[in-house]
Amino acid sequence: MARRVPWALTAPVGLVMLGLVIVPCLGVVLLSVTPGPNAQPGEAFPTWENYRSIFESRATRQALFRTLEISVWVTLLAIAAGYPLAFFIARQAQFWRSVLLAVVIFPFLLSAVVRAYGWNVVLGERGIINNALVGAGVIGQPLTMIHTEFAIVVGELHLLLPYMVLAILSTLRGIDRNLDAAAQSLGASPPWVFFRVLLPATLPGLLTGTLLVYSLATTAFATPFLLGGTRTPLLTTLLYRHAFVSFDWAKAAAIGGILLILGATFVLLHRWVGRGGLNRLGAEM
Amino acid sequence: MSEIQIVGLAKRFADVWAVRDASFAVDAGAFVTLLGPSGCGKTTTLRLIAGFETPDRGDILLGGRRINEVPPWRRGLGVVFQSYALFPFMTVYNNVAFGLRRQGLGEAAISTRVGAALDLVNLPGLERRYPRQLSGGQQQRVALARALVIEPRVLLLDEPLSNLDAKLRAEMRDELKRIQRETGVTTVLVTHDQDEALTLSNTIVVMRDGAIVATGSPRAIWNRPGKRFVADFLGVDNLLPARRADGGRIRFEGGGPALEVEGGGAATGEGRIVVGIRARDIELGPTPAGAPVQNEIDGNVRESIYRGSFFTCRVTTDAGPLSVTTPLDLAPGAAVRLRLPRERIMLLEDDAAGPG
Repeated sequence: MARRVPWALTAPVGLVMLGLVIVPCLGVVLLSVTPGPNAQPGEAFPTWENYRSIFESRATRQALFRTLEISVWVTLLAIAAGYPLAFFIARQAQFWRSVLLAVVIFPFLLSAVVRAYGWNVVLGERGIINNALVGAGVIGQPLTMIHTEFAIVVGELHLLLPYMVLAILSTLRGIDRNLDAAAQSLGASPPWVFFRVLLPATLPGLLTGTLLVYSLATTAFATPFLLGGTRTPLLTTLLYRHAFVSFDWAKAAAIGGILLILGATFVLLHRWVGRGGLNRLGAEM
Repeated sequence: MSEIQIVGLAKRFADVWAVRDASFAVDAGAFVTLLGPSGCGKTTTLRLIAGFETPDRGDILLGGRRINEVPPWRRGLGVVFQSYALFPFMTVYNNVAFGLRRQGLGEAAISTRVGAALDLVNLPGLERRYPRQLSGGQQQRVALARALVIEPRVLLLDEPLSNLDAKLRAEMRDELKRIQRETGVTTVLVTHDQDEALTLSNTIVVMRDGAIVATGSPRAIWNRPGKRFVADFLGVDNLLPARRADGGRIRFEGGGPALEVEGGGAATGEGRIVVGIRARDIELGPTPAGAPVQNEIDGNVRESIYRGSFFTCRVTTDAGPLSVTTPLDLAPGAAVRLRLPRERIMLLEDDAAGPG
């Protein structure tokens, strides 16, 4: 009885997952191997034509590489910015910790449109940065920042940084405050303390944050749609165009299939690195 | 020769002086305890010695050499923290080996010394476990082994026993005594527990509000606390305001007879006097016929509390309420005669307001 109750309790969420995640995912996979509206005569289910046409088109190949490139940049920058930030927040007194945490989480409270408009004001042709630089005589012509990959990276970083900070903070909270002092007393200078004690101790949080940020970056839609414009399509914005502009749902499903594979590959890679990396450092999950 | 010398040490956090003008010395091989309530600056003093904090004033000398600017990783001091601060992702072996690896020793030498350290703390056979798989007492022993294995010049212990339950605490206290004796390592212990301080130390340094209020051997501190605060902290049950009377005697402010005292107190100066006497030092008997003689006071039992092998009586007297321990089971209201032995009466400086 005691063993059966927890399973029964997962039934509601299990049904939701089945109906809203697993079934639609299978639907996408099936649709992606179904002949689309532009199919050649003689194509039948199942077909690889949708996938083949994606990899044949230069534009979609570019969108795929751009998606990967931007996701990697966003993840690396989130680590570079989020790791020290999490440490800084963790070391503050209770009051300032709450204030800083609220500031970090703030992007969550804004709608994608408001956030994108804000970045337009900052990065636009006549935005704050360009006005300042032109006004100061540093540059003659305004820089093109909006509707570039740079704008997408900035916008996604703004949105996804909180995931990284929160993931690292949660492991930092479980770590003894005197861990670095103990290591120092045993002869470890600050670099040693960091690489041999603090980094391994926070690695689980760092890996969780990386997984969250990377997978959310590859699948982000609103931010690249609003900040990247039509000049810099990503897989997600391309998917949108196929689904709602040219109504080629089969090709849209194929792009969805590629995103699914990207995500799943990264999750598996992440688990493999996580176990291997921690073992090498003499740790375990 | 003093292994550690603290001279006029002071540390300020924001606008609060956590340590103010602290000076004391620790001889090589000695066991010194910093004793005081929480917030008295004892832990800050220890962290200053370890190098985790930088003093605002004063000097820290290690073997006669000033080490104020030496970073903690070059001081060669062993530290055991209240929370143990074991590396959670390392096995017991790797935790203990950490300091030796920093010294660049070969794996064979490391293995030998880790084994010896774990033997010393009575914890063999757990090398491959992780800290979270150990009990609190075992974690404590690992922390001790990790600090001792580097053969530190000084061992610093920050409330190492306060996270253990009472039985284990007593056991580890004796272990600590044995290990310190076997290794002969100079030790500074921080605690708020007077029993730990009395059993372990050669010297006790009592701190209050960042300042040192008493320094002495356990016997000296116990028998002649000197100040009201120290006596109170060491559990002197009866503390009554008094003034000096003729013939070297003292008289309670509350009333009652004048009492004879002897060198039991070092209180001098202009301050008001407080008289202290432990409940167990007062002799109690039923009121006999005849008037009380010198240092005797008559009173009535207000309440009697069962304590197992004895009773604690609260007795109302002319001098004020007094706590007395007795093997007698007395009913409330019983008339009793108390004798306050002159050699047990402590004259104390009234420092109730604290320094500065």
